[in-house]
Amino acid sequence: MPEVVNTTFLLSTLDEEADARLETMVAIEDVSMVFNMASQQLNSLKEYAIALARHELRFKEFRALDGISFDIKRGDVYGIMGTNGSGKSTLLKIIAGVLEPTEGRCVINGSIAPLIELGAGFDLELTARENIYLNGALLGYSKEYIDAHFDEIVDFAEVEQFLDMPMKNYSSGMIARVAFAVATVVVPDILIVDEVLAVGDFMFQQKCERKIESLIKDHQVTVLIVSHSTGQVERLCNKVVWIEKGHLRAIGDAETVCTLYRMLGGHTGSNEAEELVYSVMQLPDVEDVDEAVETVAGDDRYGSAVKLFERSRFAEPDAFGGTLVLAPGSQSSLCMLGNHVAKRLDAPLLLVKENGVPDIAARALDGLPVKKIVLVGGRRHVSEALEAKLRKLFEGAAIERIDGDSPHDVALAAWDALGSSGTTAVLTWDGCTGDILSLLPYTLERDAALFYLRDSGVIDGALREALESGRFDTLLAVGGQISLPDAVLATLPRSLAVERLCGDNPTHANRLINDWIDQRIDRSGSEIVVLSAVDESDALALGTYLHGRSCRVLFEDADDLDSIAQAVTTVRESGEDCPLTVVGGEALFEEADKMLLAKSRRKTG
Amino acid sequence: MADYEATGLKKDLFIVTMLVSKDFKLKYRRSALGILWSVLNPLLMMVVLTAVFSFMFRFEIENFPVYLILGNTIFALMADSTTTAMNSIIDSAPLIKKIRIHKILFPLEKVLFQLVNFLFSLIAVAAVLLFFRIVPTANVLFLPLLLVYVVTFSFGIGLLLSAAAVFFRDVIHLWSVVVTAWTYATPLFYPTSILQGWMMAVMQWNPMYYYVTYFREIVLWGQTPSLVENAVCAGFALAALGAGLLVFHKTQKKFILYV
Repeated sequence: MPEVVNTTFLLSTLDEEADARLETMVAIEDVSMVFNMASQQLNSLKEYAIALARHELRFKEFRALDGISFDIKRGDVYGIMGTNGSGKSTLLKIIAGVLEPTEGRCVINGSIAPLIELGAGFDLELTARENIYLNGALLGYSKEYIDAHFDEIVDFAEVEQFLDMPMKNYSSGMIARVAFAVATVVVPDILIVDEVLAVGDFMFQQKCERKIESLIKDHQVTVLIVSHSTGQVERLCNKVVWIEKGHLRAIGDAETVCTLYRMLGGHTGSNEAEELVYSVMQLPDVEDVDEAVETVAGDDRYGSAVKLFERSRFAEPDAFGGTLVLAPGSQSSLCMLGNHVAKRLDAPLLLVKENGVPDIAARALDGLPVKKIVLVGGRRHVSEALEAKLRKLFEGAAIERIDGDSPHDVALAAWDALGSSGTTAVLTWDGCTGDILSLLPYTLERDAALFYLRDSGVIDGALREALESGRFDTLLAVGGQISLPDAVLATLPRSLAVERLCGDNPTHANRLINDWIDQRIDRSGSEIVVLSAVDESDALALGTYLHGRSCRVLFEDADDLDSIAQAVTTVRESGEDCPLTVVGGEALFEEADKMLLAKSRRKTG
Repeated sequence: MADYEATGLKKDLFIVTMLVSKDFKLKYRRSALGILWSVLNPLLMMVVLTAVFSFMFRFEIENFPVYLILGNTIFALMADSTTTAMNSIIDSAPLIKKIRIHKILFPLEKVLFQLVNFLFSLIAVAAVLLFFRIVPTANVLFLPLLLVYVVTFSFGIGLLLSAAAVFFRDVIHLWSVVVTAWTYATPLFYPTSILQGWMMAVMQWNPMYYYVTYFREIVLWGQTPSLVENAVCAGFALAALGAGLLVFHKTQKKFILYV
């Protein structure tokens, strides 16, 4: 899949008038940097001569920077943001005077102290004392200046006792301290900081930040900072420039550009998707995100299942009928079957480990009048040890097992034991979890039966018998040509209407399925449940939550703009009042992602 | 210009001093005899070569050990200077990529470091002279001039090699072979009298021949170098320096892309 990264210019929030009054310290004028990447490595004379003789000396041009222009004014603290390989370091090297731009020019007004990489020029065989002089010389200090400020450097680095020890015996944190101390003992006009604050311990990082802040505040030093931490940049910088693949994307005040970068930086997706997301970002913020968007997430899949249970209708007084369904959390397909079994029995589904009940689930169930427990899965996934523990935990409760070695067997066992009232059967393959989750609002509402293939591309005897039992009039084939070939589906009786649901990627499949359901069930204004397309493990017990609710399941990949755009569109179409619920923790959905969803609900002008 | 900054030449001088002192410290760190090796090395070398050429291959040369050590030390100055200068740019890659610095300082520093080493080895030379009871004449005062020639020549070649090595690493391997060949092509341990006519004609194009001869003239034979000799020595040095500077300046902007 080709990676599409947008590089168009987005916005500038610079106050040109105010800037014009300030002195320009660095003027970057239409700077481009082109590297000739040899299509093959020619490192020896012979290879070079052969290539030359064959007229095979080809070079691939690589534009690390493309027409970058901006001014850095006196007293500015500029943050440079961008994903890896976007040209940040190249730009810094040009400003530091190490690299010459291929086109354009960079005019520097004043002295530069580069912290491009701490400790460049340290020789670890030498002692700290010797290295301080050596490094100072390389940074352009005079001997007298180092003599006069030697104690200051040593104090800051806190290495007094180790001054005459070879630096190879130093810890990396100590080396960083010495390097930082040497580089910042001067008060330069321009200070360049390249991700150096990432080294050293917490205390030292704070000390460095304080030092930089004092340079900024007390001496009006102009600072350039490269960092991946938007937090650090927002804290230290007043202006930020965002570069992507060598192109200037946004420039302006730190808050605006950082917000933009967090949402769009490094994400792939089409131009249209980005424009849509960008237009939503322009809307005013929602006051309380946590109120506007409900979040359901536990520490792990078991915790999330409990959270879903606590928000389901079973958590209401007297709603619990006494039956409990348990499925192994490590087996997604068995969990999907568990959702269907639970619906059939009008019971909640919780997840268990192979050998035990997770503490969080045990706590949630404590005191519930459990009369019957249904285990989904064979002894390989739901062990006898677990069964024994359950007996102890819920004394007097009847324990039933829907047995089988594979999802295929378990599905058939469930069908035999419980049947279904619906006339729809769903057939899919072991591993297709996302699509089944998308379908849940329909399959649970219509009480459809879920079946799994044993082998890809084969409908075996037992499965065929169930499908041809005459109870079904519709078969939803969820999967592509490999798992469910047309030829195999054609062998089923004509009385069974076959519909295939298959998408190119999780997001696409999700849209297809939602469209398909919308044609059959009216879900206007219903709650939207957002799941992560990257990791659906938090939603394995979603059925419990959906029980008795009209919902739309929406998959979103928070790193893919196309996926985000689709989510935004869906939320927007659902109107202002539809409730929004996100299932997944911080790692999957950040505050900014939820804010975007909340904003999408707003009516646009 | 901020107050902490040394200006132009003074700054470069400080950098070179610091780098030379670094190399010096590193060279003898953790060796018991330390700096004494700079003296011992040429001395022991001379003993070995004297043994070889006194018993196995005999040449009729008066004061052979002196003849030998003079040729060897001055040749070593050139060979070591050019070899270390050649690697200097590649070895300084981390610095070149991060700090704005005159790149020419790196080969220059290496050549100057070898000069310091050479000055120490002069102690060995003096010891040998003392042993053979040879009293140098006033002609020995030409030595600084000779060193200017040799250092300039080595610096020029070093510049050329350091730039070439950045683009083609082969140069590094090739140069060690060239230096070995050059050692035998220069009359270090044999007299020029054994050379046939055509060999002598080729020798006219060997700069090291002139520098070695110059050194022996002023120290061993007590002769005053002629104006022509000086002109030839200076000519080779300037030609090497000119070529070196030209190539280095033309290519140095591209170094950062290849080191």
